[in-house]
Amino acid sequence: MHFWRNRPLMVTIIVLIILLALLVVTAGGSNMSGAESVAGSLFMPLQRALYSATDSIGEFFERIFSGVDAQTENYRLSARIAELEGLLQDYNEMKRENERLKTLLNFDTQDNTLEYKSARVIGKSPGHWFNMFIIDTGLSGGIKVNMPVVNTDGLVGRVVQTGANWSRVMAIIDTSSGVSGIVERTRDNGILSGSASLTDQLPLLAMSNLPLDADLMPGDTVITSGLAGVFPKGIRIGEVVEVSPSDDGMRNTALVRPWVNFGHLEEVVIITSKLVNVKEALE
Amino acid sequence: MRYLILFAVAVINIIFTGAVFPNINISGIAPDIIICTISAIVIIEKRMTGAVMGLFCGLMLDIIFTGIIGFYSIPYFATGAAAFFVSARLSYIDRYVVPCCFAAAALLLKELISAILSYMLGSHFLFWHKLVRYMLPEALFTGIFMLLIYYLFRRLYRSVSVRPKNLEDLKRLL
Repeated sequence: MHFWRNRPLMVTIIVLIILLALLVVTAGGSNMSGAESVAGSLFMPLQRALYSATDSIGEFFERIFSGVDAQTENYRLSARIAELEGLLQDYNEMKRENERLKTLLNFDTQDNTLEYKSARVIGKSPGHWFNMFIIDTGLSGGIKVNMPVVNTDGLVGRVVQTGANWSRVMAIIDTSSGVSGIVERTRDNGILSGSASLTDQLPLLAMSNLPLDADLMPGDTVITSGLAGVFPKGIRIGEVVEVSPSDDGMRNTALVRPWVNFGHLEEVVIITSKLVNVKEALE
Repeated sequence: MRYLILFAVAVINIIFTGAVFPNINISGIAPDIIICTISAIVIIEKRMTGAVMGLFCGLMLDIIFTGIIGFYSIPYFATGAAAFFVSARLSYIDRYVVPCCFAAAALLLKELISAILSYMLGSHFLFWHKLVRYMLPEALFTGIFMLLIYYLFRRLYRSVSVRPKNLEDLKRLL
């Protein structure tokens, strides 16, 4: 009878039961409720300011501890600028060629060009159980669930929930994430999802369902295959670091290091292309 | 006034957890400021206030970061409640060692509950990898960080407006 008279214990049990019920109900939902949207909007301005400020502090300390001196960094950046200038020249060349071909084929430019919307990262899910982050644009910016998110390095993830003026993005390194990828050199297809390597400090992706005779090598580039209908084809995902047979020995599995540095995400681009929306509507 | 101050503390905790520590950390390891706050309140007050603080912060994190109500609030609330039941039986509390160990143990309990919930939600992970790579370093980090938080809370509770009524042995701790 003493058990029933212990008020704090009873309160604890009742609250936990309610929370567990809410967990079961809310797990798997993709629509954000009004309360969630408002709560996110209230915290957004402060989060945005603090995230930007602390990101700079984090980078400053990282630079100090990484041991890279300014001179070396300067040389590296100069080389990078030269490389990018070369790429820009190639890009302009290809753009002109593309326009010429489009005119020849009578293509409608508007329908074939991907549309983008930029956003700032204003928060990241605490702890290591989820790899989600918050961006400062939502329904008001035309953002919808399942839109791909990229940055200059490659594929970042996809939008999983949208509020009025903020959205949640699931990173490709999350263990619940799944991306259909293709190895650029060998054209082998596989599914990439978040993985955890015991020896590596950086997050890795596990590329499964690869054929046993796949001729993969460390250093091979993996891009999106466009098969699942969420991500457009050709976005850079990462590079292969290790290939090994799967547990059942029937397939190969590759560990892929993503190009994107998920430790310092500041600005991202959401692909709001009509192509994606059409596929959503079909589903 | 007491509730207003505790609300402000909760907001600071949420902002630090979601926007500051994701950028300022060592190899992805950061202290858990919410666990430090819960532990400090429970040690000082020996009441369920710490659990309520955990519930509020957890709910806000659920709403903002995952949309799954309970993923953060259950571990924080359960840890706060467990800390309350343990602290009620603690006869000796110093200013350094006991609070640090208390916070580190609370962090491990919170992470253990999070691991169970994560598994229930279908996440695949190697438990011992999570334990060695994240949980134990975070527990150590949180224990050290607790020194600062506990000091700040002792200072805060010197103000009469924060103290709860009928708390007899509070002066001994402060």
